Amino acid sequence: MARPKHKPPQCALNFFRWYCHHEYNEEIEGDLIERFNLYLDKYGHKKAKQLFLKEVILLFRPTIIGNIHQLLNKNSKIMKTQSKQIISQKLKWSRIFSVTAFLLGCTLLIYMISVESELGALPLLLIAIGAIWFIVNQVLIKKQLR
Amino acid sequence: MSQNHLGEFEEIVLLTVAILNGQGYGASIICEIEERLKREVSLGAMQTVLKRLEDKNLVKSEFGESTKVRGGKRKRLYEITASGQQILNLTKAQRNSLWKAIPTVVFKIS
Repeated sequence: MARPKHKPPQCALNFFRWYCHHEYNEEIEGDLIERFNLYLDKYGHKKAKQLFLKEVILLFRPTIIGNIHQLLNKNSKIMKTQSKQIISQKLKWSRIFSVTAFLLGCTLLIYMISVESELGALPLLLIAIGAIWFIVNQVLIKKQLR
Repeated sequence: MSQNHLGEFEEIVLLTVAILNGQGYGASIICEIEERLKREVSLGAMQTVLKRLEDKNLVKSEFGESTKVRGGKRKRLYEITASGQQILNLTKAQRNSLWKAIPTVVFKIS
């Protein structure tokens, strides 16, 4: 009967991939997986997972990490990308609101001219706010993309 | 540690690399040590020593083939260099001379 396929714990493996120097990543990850399969045959799944985790923790040392600055830089790059994504998401909604204000102003202006034959202050104000809001958004997006 | 001296674990790893004759890689070296010396070795300690030996130019390495049991990752095969062999011979000679220097009476008493 075929043995059920077990994989090494993903979160430990991801932690290893995060801290390990890219130069050593392939060989050591291969060794880790090979050791895990050996433990699996010898001790079973639960113990193999524990031993795998122990190996990953014991590998966390300066030689394997390589450059701590590089690791921190990698981390800050990820954070920068994430914050950029959040900001651009917020700017997207801001742009939608500015366009809505502009269009509402235009509709109101057309309505007032055609029905009431009188130019109101509110539509002009809405158009002005919408236009300024939209331009400010564009400037901010350009800054983010830099 | 000096370039001309090996630590105890470094010596064991270097000897095992020599035993495996160019076919030794992280996991296989650990298995060999565990089998021969009945000593538990972590992958972290092994990789650190292998990198140190490579920096000292006592071993050289190259990528080998990838296997299914390794999740498709390639092995890094280690081979002993001429300076590695030289330092092992030197260490052996030093130890032999120390053994010879022990007066026979010392071991008789204990």
